[in-house]
Amino acid sequence: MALFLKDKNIININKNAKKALADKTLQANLKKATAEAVFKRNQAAAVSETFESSRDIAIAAREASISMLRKLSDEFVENCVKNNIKCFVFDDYESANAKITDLIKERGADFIVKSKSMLTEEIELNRHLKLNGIEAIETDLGEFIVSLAGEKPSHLTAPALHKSRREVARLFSEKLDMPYSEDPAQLSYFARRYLRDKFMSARVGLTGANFAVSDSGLIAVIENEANARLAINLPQTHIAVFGVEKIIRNLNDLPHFLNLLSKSATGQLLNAYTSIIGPPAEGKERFFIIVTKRRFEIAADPVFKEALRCIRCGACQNICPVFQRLSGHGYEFCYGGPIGTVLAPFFIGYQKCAELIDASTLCGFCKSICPMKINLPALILQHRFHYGADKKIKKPLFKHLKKLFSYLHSLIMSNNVLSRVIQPFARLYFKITAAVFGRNYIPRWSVFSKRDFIGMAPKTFMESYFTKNKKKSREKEGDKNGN
Amino acid sequence: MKVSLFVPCIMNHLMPESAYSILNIFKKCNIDFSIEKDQLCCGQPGYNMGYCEHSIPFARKFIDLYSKNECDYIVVPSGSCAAMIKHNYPKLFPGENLEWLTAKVVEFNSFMHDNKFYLKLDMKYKGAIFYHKSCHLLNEMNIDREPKEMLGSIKGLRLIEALTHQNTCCGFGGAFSASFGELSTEVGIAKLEFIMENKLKDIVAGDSGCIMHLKSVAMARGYKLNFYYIADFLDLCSN
Ligand code: SF4
Repeated sequence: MALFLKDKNIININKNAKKALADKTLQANLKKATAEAVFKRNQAAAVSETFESSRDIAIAAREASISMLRKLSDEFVENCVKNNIKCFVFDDYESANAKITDLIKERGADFIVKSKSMLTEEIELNRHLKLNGIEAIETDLGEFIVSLAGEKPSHLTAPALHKSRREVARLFSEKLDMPYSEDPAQLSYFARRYLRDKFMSARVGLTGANFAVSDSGLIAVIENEANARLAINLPQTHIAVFGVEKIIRNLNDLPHFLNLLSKSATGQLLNAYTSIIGPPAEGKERFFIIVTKRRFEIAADPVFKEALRCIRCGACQNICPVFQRLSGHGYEFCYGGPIGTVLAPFFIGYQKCAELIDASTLCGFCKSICPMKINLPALILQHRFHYGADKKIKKPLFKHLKKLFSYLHSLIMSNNVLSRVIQPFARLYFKITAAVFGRNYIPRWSVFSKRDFIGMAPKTFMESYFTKNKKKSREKEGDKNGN
Repeated sequence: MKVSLFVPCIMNHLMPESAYSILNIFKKCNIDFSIEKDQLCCGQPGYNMGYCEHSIPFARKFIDLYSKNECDYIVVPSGSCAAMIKHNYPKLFPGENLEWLTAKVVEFNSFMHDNKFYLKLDMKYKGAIFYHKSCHLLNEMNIDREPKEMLGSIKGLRLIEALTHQNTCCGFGGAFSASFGELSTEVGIAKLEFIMENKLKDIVAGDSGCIMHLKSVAMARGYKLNFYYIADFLDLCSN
């Protein structure tokens, strides 16, 4: 058992939180955007007569596809080939990135137009392309803003959620050489004008896929800005990159997923554009890059397979009290929020996630809002169990201390004698801190005087109740004796 | 009907008056109650920190204690502890049949509501209160309607609750509150600010953990607010 104080590799949630909380603009943006998103989602779900039934149907459909993921994946590839779509399946990021780079280079392109894909964030495609001299131009407004700022998306469906209108205006006027304007219509007009040229001259367009339909070799791309449509149809070559878990059995399941995704993500009754993409047009070509990394393993896990139900709607992020303050960037993993915490240990390892898996109050709102009813708090807890039990994980000192605390709590509080003996000492401790600090002080709890502690009662309920009762019964006995 | 009251740690150590409120209510409703003298914590802290082995002694003791107790209900005044016992104990002892136990365990709100005891209290109050939906009560135990109906039955009371999108955790989260002190405190502050913005003074919550946390944050900020565990408030209104 290696004991070490600090591990630079561990995602430092406390440090990131401190930074995020100090940024008042960020906090205001997050608060406004997440509250609005939850409000809209609730409204959309409330007026819909089909939301709840779609939930059940979609969950059953996903459960079925997860249980036969390998088979579906093979079938999907076969059907794509019939549709004249070339498919490549990769288990590791490097090969996927290399293949995409090759495809782009072979077509003599030095830039591509890209529409939002979280998987490309997972495999860090843009960085890889840049190293190879290829520029990836993000065309969806949110992603476009984030990439202009040299940042990464902070949210599954609203990548620039952390930015205010004013910040975007400043960014556009600085980077795009455009007159300063805070008018959203004006801003998107600037972006569109800038991007139209790129669309017209691009040789390769790259998108993700929200769903892939196994029995027909199609993908469904869901969006509100129609940039994916342009990226798919204008260039000569279209590449779609997605994870294998996106594969569903057939088109019958699709409407239910759309029903859930649009309402949960943006509170729309239905998203603006849904493209079902099949065979390429005459003289054009289409490639599907399917990434399987860790997915089959998760699908085979009796507990965690639930996580693959995720349709990346971002609702769990919007409602999470931690995400609402930490922002997506604070997670240092492409997927933030509750679902990110569930996925991270699989993709970046437990060791890095020592703090992350503890950074949840387990309040359970994410579980309630998740359209796919993924029991996110239970899965986060499951990670804690695994982390604690796995001796192979190198653990930092704070984790050992936590375990020690848990052990001592168990040792003392599960023993009637010890738990009584310790009482006066605990009270004495608070007396001392009250004398020294002028308030009840608990290390790690009393942060920057922002939080006090209500303190201990002079007597526990059990002490007072049972001494009272003893007295009462003694009095009764006394009465009897007296009589 | 025989009832045994389980007293959660936070209530036992930090706010014993709330346990007395429950006893008062039981007396007013003529409920035949008893309390197990040797009861311990439910074992949730270790469990939620990821060390379920540390919660086993507590669970074992709880099971043993109540296997000899012939009560009809074990009333647990905490959504958190009730969820721990009802949902997690069976997971700790997979080979054992604990249905007899989990069936007996009822959360205070559902006990009072489902048996209609609250109607016997003839409650009155003047003014508005803010009801904080405690997370585990709401999301783990699915108890929401019960406390609201009980509070709604109080004559003269205006019940205010946060809309779903404004409704958040109090920020406590057990060990989370110490491990992520700043985040935890900020969540608590936001909750209190919402209450202050809406010019509310009296807060009722369904779990003593939330009361403890919100009160601790309010103390540091000098907010003059009154916090009631739901039993405290029901007891107060029935005088
Ligand atoms: S876990 Fe659920 S709520 Fe979160 S992104 Fe996935 S589907 Fe949406």
